[in-house]
Amino acid sequence: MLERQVIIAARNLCKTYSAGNEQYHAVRNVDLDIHEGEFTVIMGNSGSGKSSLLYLLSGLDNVTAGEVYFRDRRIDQFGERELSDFRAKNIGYIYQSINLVPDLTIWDNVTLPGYIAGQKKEAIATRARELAHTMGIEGQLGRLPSQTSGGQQQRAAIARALINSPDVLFADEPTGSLNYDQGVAVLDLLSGMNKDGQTVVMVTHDIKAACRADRLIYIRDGKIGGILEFGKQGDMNTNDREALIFSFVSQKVRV
Amino acid sequence: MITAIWKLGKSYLVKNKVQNAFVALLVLLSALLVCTATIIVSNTGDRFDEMHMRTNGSHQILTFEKKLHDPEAVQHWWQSQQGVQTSDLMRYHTLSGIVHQGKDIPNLYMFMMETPKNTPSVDQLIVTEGKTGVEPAPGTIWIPTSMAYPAGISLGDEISIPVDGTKLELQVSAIVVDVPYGAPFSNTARVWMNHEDYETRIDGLDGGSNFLLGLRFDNYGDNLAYWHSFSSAMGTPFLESKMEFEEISSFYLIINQIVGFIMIFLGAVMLIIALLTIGFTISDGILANYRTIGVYKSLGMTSRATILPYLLQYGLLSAAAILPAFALSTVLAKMIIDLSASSLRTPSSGSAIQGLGAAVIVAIMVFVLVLLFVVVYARRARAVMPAQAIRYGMSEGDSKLLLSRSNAADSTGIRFGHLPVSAAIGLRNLLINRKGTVIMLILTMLASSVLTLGSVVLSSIGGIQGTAAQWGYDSANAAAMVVNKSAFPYDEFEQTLASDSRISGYGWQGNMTAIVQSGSVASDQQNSASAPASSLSLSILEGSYEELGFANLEGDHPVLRNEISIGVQVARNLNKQPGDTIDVYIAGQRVTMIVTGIYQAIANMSNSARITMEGALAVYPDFNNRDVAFINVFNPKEANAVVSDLNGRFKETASIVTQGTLLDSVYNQASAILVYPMSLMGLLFLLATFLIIYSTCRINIRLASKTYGIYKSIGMTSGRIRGAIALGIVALAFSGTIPGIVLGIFVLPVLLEMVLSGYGIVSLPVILNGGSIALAAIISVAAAFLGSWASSKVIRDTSPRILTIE
Repeated sequence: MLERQVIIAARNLCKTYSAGNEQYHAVRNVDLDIHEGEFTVIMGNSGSGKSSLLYLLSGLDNVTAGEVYFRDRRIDQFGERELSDFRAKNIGYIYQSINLVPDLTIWDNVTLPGYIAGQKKEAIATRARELAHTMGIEGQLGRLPSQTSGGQQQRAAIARALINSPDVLFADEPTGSLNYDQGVAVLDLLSGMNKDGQTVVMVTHDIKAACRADRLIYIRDGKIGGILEFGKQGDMNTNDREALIFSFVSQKVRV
Repeated sequence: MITAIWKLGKSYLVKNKVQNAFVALLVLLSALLVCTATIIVSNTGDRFDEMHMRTNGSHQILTFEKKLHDPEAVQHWWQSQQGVQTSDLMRYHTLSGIVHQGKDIPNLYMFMMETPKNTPSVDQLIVTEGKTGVEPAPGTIWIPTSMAYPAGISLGDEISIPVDGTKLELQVSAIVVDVPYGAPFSNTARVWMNHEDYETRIDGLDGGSNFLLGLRFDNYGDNLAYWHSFSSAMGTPFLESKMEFEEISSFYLIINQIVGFIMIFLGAVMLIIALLTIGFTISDGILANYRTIGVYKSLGMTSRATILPYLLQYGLLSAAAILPAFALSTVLAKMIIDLSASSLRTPSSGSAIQGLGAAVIVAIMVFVLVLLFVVVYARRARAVMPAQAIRYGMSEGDSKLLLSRSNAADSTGIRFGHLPVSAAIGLRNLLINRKGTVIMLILTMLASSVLTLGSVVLSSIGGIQGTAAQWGYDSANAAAMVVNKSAFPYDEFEQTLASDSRISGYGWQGNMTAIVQSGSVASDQQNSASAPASSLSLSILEGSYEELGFANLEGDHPVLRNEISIGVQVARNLNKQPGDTIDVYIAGQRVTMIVTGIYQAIANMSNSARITMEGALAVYPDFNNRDVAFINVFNPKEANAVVSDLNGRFKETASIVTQGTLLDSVYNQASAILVYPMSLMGLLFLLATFLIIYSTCRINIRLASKTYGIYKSIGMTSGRIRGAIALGIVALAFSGTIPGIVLGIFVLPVLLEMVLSGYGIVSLPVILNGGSIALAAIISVAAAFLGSWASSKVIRDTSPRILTIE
């Protein structure tokens, strides 16, 4: 396997939330590298800190302690403008709850980040049409999110995340609010993009979804509980991969 | 980025159309009020000044009725003075008792003028209706607007005046603006006649003709120096009557001050409320869109850029509201100005409206203020953390606050076990959004204070009969104004009064001009420019001020010959208190008098003084001005009969009316000028109250829609839930009306007095009417109730499932 470059790195990463007088340590001293072109899945129980970790790696949340690097730049020390620029140009984010802007059409939702990033109108439109075609939502572009299905909304959200051709695509349980068929379609899209070189970091509970990954990181109590390396997908069939993940996760849960 | 901001701003505008429409309406109303008030205040002096300038208006008008001076000699002397312009020496004869379309017009005292052959250089007439030439055609007259409009006299109408046992019938051929005699509440009018008509019908009447001369100074402040020179040159001070500039201008200025003050107050209050409401709406919008804002930030939007769509939204809304508000304000202001200065209205008045520049500045300021408030309140959007916002839909702080409020509702005893269900729901609704609750409380307080002030002003004007003395007038049951002094049979009149068993007493009042100086100034300094001297209108009463119902603000009426009571303006200018001495120059003779009291009078802006007849005669033994007789009757119900009897005998030379008739004419004009604009403003304020409470309650209901959905799902009727919410609002509104009433009765009149103090009114004669105050309170509570009830319609119209999902 070729040595890939590290695109996101976390060093001694911590996140603590306060609730009254109590403190909740969501992420504790995490060291992690995400490689370019890699499909990384983060798994863990509810409340284990996997989403918090994703938010920290993507620069959507402030760290309590530690460092987060995007290539050789420390994003946890970015000022507001740099951070906004980073979010606009270097990352794309897909949410479980989809989070399309309800008052904007699907077209406006998809193109909005392009305008925020200051891209040319024609370039945005070309890219948006291309993504709409890829995602199969061409017929929905003039509609409001409420006028489309959950799967169509999530595909629109993926298109929105990809409009600026981000270096890393973060996905927080992207199939969590979808039915089985819609979920599979979304995962196929993510896998396809990864095959084309897109770096993907995805949080999921779903073992079938995790099968798509090159590497699985298990989070427990805010710490990395274990890492499972698969290599590229062709090395192992899906059933074997599911069995391996099940065994790995079961072992980690018992520990 | 601009495209993104534009798209978001547009989406904010499209979403919540009703809320946006309310905000726009609120901005429109407040901009309308402040712009209107600005234009009115700008025009308060301007309309009068402009007309006074345009007509080359006189500053003083001299009338020669006592044959104490040679009018031509006086005119000649003034014509020779640099810096003074004079009118023609005009002949006139005073008449009263005008009949128009079979109806007597009471309390109107006419100077029948011989129209000068040349265009007058001072006090030029401006035609508003009809055509004028050099003079009216034979058999026709020109009448002033101040006579035509209140009495409803139109062009072509005939009026008739009893003269020498016959009727003088004349047709109105023109209506003209006559500035010195055209003020609101004026009861004198100059009627301009054809020369031949005057010669044949008027000049030969008993008493013959008198003369009138108008003086215009290049610098009115120099007038005293000229009068000193006059006294030196003539060997005597001016002993005839003189109308001062303050008397000419006071009623023009004071009314617009009152209207302007109330509008500025209302406008400022409404603007503050509108700004707070906008801030509150933005806060609510941010709270409701917290997750979406988090998404924007996660997409790379900067904190500053998250504010810009709000600026765009409210900037567009404000612009859309302020532009028509400005246009409307010019119309509304013109209507009010025309109403309060109707006698100055000319066909070209529309283009002559002043203060548009100031109103534009005010409108821009309103716009900038809205944007500033948006920036301040939208700051919250800057602090949105994407992760927190997307996961929880609110900040940690808000989450804690929500929890603490919920706990607070329980800790304050607002529990379902402790209170009836409706009361608990109503009060908990108020605790959902404390800022909104505080705004509603302030709003109901201000609305009720404004309505209370309106009702106090209304009841004070309506009850002016009880407070005439505090406005500087007498309180006698009737007054007989001598119209034709030369022909008036004084002895016969007095005998009639003395023999009438219904009459309890009477007193004569005369007026003349005097000059006052501080008692500490030596007499040889009187010509010094530095000597604090001023000219004033001196009232001389033969009889008791006390018995004829005059009033002082402090001290007593003059009783002895060396006693004087002075108007507040005089007291202020000369720093005098009761007990001080004051030097008064009466007919050129200096006399030192003791100030016994201080009073206020709307006429002359309190630039006047009162002395006894003995006091005047001691200085000026030839004084014989007896202009008005104040008459008291034993039984006030008989006043009309007494007046009718007296009119039967003396109508041709005197205008005799009851106090009720006099005050009715004042009240009718005041109603037209003050009450209607104020009612309009009160309505606007009620509309704003309704809108804001509707809007705030709507936000509250949306915040708690899940709760109300659950209440519905467990069996409460929507009517009961809505009733409970309205109950809470009514309780809140009621708590606001109590301090509001106190504010309306005790604080706002004081502010109004501060505005009017420059016009000689330092203490508003307020009449409190419990019924109308209670009505004002009920109306503001009712507006709050209706706003709340209308806003909760969504609970009735929406299913529990949708409410809980929302």
